[in-house]
Amino acid sequence: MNHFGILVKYEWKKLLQKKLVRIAILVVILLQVFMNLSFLMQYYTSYRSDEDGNVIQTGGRSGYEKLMDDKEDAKALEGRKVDDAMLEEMRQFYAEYSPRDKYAEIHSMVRAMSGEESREFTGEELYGVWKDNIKTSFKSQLLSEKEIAYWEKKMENIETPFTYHYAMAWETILNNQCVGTGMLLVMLLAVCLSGIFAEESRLKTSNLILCAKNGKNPVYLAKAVVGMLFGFLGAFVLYVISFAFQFYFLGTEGFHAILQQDIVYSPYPITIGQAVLIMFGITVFIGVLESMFAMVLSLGLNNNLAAMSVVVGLMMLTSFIYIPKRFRILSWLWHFIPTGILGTGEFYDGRLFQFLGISITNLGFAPILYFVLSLVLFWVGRRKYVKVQKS
Amino acid sequence: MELKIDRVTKQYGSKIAVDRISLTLGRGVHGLLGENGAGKTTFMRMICGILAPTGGSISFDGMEAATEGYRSVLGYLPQDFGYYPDFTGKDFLLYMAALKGLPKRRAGEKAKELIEMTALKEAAGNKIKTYSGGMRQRLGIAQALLNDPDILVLDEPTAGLDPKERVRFREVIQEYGKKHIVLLSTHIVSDIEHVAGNILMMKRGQLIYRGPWGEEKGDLEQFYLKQFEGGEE
Repeated sequence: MNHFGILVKYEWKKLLQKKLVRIAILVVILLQVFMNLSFLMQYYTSYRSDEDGNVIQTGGRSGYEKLMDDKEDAKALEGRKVDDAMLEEMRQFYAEYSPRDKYAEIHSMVRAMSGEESREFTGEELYGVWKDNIKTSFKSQLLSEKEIAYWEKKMENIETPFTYHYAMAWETILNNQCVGTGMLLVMLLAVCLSGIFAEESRLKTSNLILCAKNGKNPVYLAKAVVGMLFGFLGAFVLYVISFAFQFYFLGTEGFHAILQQDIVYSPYPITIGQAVLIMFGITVFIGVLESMFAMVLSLGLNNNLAAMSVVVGLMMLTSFIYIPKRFRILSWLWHFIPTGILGTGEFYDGRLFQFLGISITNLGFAPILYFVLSLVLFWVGRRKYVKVQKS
Repeated sequence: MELKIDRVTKQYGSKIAVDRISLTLGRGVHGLLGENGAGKTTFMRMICGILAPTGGSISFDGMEAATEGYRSVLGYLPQDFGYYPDFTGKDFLLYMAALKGLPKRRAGEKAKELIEMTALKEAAGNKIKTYSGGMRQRLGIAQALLNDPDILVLDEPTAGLDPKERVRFREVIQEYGKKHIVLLSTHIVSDIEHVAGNILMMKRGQLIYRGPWGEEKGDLEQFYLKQFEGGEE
């Protein structure tokens, strides 16, 4: 192992030997497990009205029982086309009371596509309304003609009528886990990495490091590598936990189901599995960016509590602020604030980044932006660490 | 082998911590005496390249202070020796060896040699947080010597050492000074009067005495105390 390898090894050791870091890792893992098992703590009661209009409780199910029922019902619809025949079948089912909502998956999709609770659509009408609603969504986003044309061309690749595929695990991760995982990751990085430089001052070891031969560039690089790897591994482990629990309870099927069966107004011609992988990839880039951000703050503020507060505070503050789309550039830039971009709303967003005549979607631009910002932060930190002696 | 210090100054606002010190140090042990607050630590930190001087320059055989070449020939034991409480003594030395750029095999050999020299063999595998003050100080001395530095800067190195360890330490330093430049700072006269061939005395940021101290000049401690009559700054 060369010097750099040894320095990286000891930087890992320094990081993982801290009690605070170990506790933070444990707490974040437990929270992620809890987020994935929260359905076990729910209880569902079903009611119906009798002929006199009295409300009668017809049954109760634990969260686990309901999940297994939903899974069974959804699996029974596997491979069915959402066409006239299916719509008619569904209408007949809902005409009578049933304690099990066997068409729940398709019913919620049709309701979202039409934007109405109940209406007797033919298949053709349903897909017509769906396309109109997407066009309305484009207008409300103030998309340019060029952007609308781009998405209309992309949407030609979405085959109608939709074919339903069972994909509950992938849907649950996409709808319920991505934002939470992103926030847990940012908190983990804020707690664990905000001391990576500041601790050297607190322990007074910076005196020894700064006057050693490899104490400048190599040490900075070793710390940055460890921090970024920690961010990457954090994202990876949190997603592995989600995958493990969701696949265990709901199965792995459905990677190839079209995204529109879950996010109906999305113009992206991709599958649900691809959408989850895109979110995972963006989370990895967020992990690397937030790691660099926490480390540069640690270096600049020379105080781990201050650096941690800035990272967590910014994450919370930015999640409360919404900039309307009419402020096009500002709202576009703002929505790249890490963790905000992990919401399912991102798959509706049709705004494009134009570069040298190439149109790049937000989900394609985000990793590039985060990578460039990580490099900038790396350079800023290096400049500060290597050049400046204490004055 | 020459450490050249040319009109080095350190100023914090209106307070001058080190005031235009110029001197050239060659092989041997150089004892830096001065009361608390005299500017010794500031001066030594500038020699180690940790602190940027407000004015003047420091170089060793043509290499400017704080450059990589300069840092590779430097060994430093700070007054407040910092360590990683959860590292073992051995791990700490191996980490410091990597920082100092020692090849892996040499690092292992040197760490072993210094662990024995500083009588830490039994405790080398224990976490530093379990060490006594004296053991930590010995570990600090060991890390400073890892790269066989041409310039060895020791700031209050005997703090925490028991009388037996102090004697042993003086012997090591005296021997080391025969081939290298050792700058040893203290406010305890007895620590340096027997080992330092050259005495440097600082008061209020200035060098008020430099040169060898022979018996014909009388008692060094008396002379030192006389300089600081009137109390601390």
